[in-house]
Amino acid sequence: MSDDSAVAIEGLSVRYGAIQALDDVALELREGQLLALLGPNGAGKTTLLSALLGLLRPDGGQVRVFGHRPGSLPARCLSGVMLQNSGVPELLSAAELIDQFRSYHNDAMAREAVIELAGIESLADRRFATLSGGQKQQVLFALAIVGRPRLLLLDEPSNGMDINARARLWRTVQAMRDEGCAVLLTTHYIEEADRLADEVILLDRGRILAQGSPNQIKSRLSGSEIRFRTRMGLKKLQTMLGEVQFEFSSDRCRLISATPERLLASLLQADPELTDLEVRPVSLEDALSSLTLEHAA
Amino acid sequence: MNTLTAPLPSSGHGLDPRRMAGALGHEALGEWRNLVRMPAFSIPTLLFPVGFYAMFAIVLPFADTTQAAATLLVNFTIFGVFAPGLFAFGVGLANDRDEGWLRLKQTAPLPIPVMMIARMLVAMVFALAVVVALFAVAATAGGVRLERSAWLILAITGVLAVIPASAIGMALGAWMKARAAIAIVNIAYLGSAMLSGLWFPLHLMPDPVQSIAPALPPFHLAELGRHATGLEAGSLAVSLSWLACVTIIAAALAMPGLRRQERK
Amino acid sequence: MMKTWILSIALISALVAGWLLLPVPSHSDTDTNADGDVREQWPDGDFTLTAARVFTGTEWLEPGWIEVRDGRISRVGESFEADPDLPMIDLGDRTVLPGLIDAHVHAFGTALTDALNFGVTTVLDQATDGEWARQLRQASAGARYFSSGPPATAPGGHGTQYGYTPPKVRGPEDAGEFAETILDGGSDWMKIIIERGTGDWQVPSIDQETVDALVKAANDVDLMPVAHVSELETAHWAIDANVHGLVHVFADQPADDALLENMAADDRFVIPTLVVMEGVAGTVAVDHHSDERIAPWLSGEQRASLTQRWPGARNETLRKRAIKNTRAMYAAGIAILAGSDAPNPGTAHGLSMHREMELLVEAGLSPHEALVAATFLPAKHFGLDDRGLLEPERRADLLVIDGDPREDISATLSIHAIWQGGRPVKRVLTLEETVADVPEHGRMSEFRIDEAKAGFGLGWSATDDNMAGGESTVEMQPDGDDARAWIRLTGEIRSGFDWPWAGAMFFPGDQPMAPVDLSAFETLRFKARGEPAGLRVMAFSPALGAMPATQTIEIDSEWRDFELSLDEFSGADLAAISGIAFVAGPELGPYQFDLADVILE
Repeated sequence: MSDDSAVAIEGLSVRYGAIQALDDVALELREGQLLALLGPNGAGKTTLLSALLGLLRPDGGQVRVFGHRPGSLPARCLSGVMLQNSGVPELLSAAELIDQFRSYHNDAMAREAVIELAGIESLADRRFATLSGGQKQQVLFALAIVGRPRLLLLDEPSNGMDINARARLWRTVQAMRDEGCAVLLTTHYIEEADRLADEVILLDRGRILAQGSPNQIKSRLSGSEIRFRTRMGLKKLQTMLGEVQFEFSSDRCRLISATPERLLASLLQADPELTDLEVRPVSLEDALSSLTLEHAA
Repeated sequence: MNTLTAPLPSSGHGLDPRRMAGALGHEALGEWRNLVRMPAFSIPTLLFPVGFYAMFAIVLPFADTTQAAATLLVNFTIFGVFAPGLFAFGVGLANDRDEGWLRLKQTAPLPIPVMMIARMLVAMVFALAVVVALFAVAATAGGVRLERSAWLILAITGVLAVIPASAIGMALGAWMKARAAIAIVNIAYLGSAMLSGLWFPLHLMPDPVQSIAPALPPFHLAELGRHATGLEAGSLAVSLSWLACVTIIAAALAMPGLRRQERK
Repeated sequence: MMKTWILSIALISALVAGWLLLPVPSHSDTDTNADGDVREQWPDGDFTLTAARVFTGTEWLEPGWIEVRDGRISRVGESFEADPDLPMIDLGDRTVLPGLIDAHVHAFGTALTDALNFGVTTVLDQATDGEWARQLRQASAGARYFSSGPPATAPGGHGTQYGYTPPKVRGPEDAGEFAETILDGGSDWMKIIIERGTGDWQVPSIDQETVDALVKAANDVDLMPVAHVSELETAHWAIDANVHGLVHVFADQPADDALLENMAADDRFVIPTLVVMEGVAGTVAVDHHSDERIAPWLSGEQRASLTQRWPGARNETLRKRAIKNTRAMYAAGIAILAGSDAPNPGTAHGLSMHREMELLVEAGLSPHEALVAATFLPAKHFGLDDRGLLEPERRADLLVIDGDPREDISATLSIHAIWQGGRPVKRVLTLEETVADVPEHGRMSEFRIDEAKAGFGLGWSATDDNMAGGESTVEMQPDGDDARAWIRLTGEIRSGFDWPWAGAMFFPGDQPMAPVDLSAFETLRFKARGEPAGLRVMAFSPALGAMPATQTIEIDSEWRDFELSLDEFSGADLAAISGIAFVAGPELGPYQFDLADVILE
């Protein structure tokens, strides 16, 4: 564990009855680092966050937030949190909620600054109940940053936000990261993680499948995506592609190959009338889904 | 200098004690705004006791002696002041839990007891409003005449009755789903009021009810009110200690409910 | 921030103000309910009661127990084993006193019930008409009544201005006959008035020789002589003549030692009547408007006499001297008896006894002694050995009050209950009861040919002086012609009463003499005709006592319209008029007159 560690997790296990929600998870998040936690629903992302917030007691392992017990007052003082499905009293306005949260901190940001950073200038005086889903997320984000946290925990923050709001959100998150704030986020938008994250962790069924920078993850799947239409049947493709995973429907086929040139050659040989051929570099999403599929197999 | 991220403190964490009062104030203000803007809470809380009191004491001829008039005022004061604490916690807390507000609060650097105290203070303000409304009706139309000190002690009893009511509400709200809470808290509220003799004199009730009453907090709160107004009442010490017991037990029951993680 | 503070302070002030405005119980209505008085359910006659304090008339029992059988006290003590067959009344932290005895009143009208309503169970009338006294002795309700009957006073002297004529005492030669007369009339003692007047007010008085003769005559017939004096000099006459007591303190100059010694030596008494001295001095201090112990319980007559004032300027010296002389007499060991001289201006039956006790305390008596002065001593000196003291065989006349009068004598006004002869007395809330609402219209008469119909109130009846001892006659007959209906009054005015009358009386209330607020009206209009003569129109009001305000008109055989201004019924309180009478007299002889279209406007 390094000196600038914001979050340190070792051997974390959580079990809900028969379900192993987290199984021997270890990770470290340093100051100024943005870590994206990815994985399908039920992978254990929310459980991990709950453990990090002290909302549940792990069955094994250790979690430390700036060296403090998660959920302890010092840990809470240093953290800004944005949870999924956080209800707030719906009859209060955004500005009132921000003031309420400002009062929890010794050294909170000015209300106007928070409103600007969250991009909610036009929403500040509206009651929470009247806001759209994305607008609510923006207000919750404002509440998360109001105390100038050293650690920002964002669970699916951009859900439902429009493009402008999302851009504003990431601008602020990046600025905070640049000032040394550690950021842990879960997201469905993998391209966001790709663009923003210093490190990505792929979680599936309670285990870390992969960990590294987006490029490192992608390189695990060095190769290209190939799409084409063919008159070959499924049987023939299977024989020909052998170990390579592919998707096939009617006459369309999609596959990822570490050796696209060789494969293309044999494909064109087998079906000279191959049409709509596309070859492009693999995306993080592809890499991840390939990893998960691999794991499932 | 960082503006978005505060530097790590070298020592000492948590909210500056001097700011704690401010946080409590803001918390109470937020709670107050939320309840006041919720007609489903504020209107029945204020109008029910006043309406029922007016019906029993003014429309119906039950306040035919000064003693009866005082008894009715005591009963409906306790009936009225028991609601804000019970509902703000019983229904409010269940709601907060269901909707994740409590979870968000648990991650914020505000000590949870401060939130509870703030909520209780707001319930006390509502209780005071109920007391003021009832006293106004009692004094003008209810024919109630009390010594000045008796008025004051009854009012204080009414405001402090929020404490056991809140504890009981907390015990219910910490364990129940919001939807169930509304029904159950209402049943608990009206049921205990009825069984405590707040609506009809206990001696008119069947024997089993009469034997249940001394277990119910509203009964003992009404006893305190009867002491305050010089009406016939049982032992003050018994009522006070029973109320203290109920408060402590209810608060103790609530704690694990508040701590436990919701299963998803 | 400033705004928040101002708002908070405003809110808190509002709460405190609201709290201060909340109604507190008045002592008088703590135990009453809408139907009247729960004490009505208390037992009648036989019961045991206990209270934190019982004052027997001479001593204190703490706690005290009293057993009452057949209206009399059977046992008294600090504790005894109560008879389980008797109802038990626990009065808690209250004080039981003997019913108060007002040693100086002039009773008429509602005096007896008014007195009883304030815990005065016995009154001693110090000069009245013999016939009135006879009736009051037989009264079934109110305070028990004892009386001197008519006073011994010089012809035209003080005491003759009240509407009755006492037997004449022209000099010592009349003393014996006077004593016989009042003895026959039922007098319980003899009152001698020695009053020469003061300042502009000069009246004939009996002289010292006559006083001596009267005292001797009184002793001959076994009547106790007491004297009204208002001067040190006449006080000496009285004491030298051996009267037993003075019914007023004098205030013309300080009492001298000789007088004090004489009075003290022979166990004489004085009834200082400081409360009436306070009235004469113009320093009346009773709050009968807002004091909840007083205001709701006052009758119209009490209210009226309280509001009346003596003529003349405020005279602090007079008040001081009266107090000082009382103090001197008290210091000399002379028995002080509480008496009010109600209903003189500024006083009221019943109520003024409580004020008198306060004034006696001001004069140096302890509250205990003031209570003795209001209970035991009047009974002792006037020979009423069946009351004034809570001991076996005496009447169960009880006054229960909240608090301890030894700490504050005015606690006697916080009346919780009254028993008279063992019977619980229902106190009368008189505020609303006495004065009925203003009638909607003023049509006193809606006569028909065959009916003396009235527009409101109890209506019309014949009236004559028989109730005052006169012998005049009257007959009232409705009649009419095409133009109008009227009532015809025929009869004869006969001698027998000083102010004989007969005619028609209109009662505006729903009871005879129940006062009604007629202040909305200004004029009394009517038609009258008859045998040419004077006709008197009289307005009765509790404010006037028994004496109505009168206006006189002349009628002849033609119908004539008359219009009388109500304001000119001088002294009558238009807000409480109990009757309006149209009468012939006082000229003697037969009369006949018709009345029609009587209307108030």
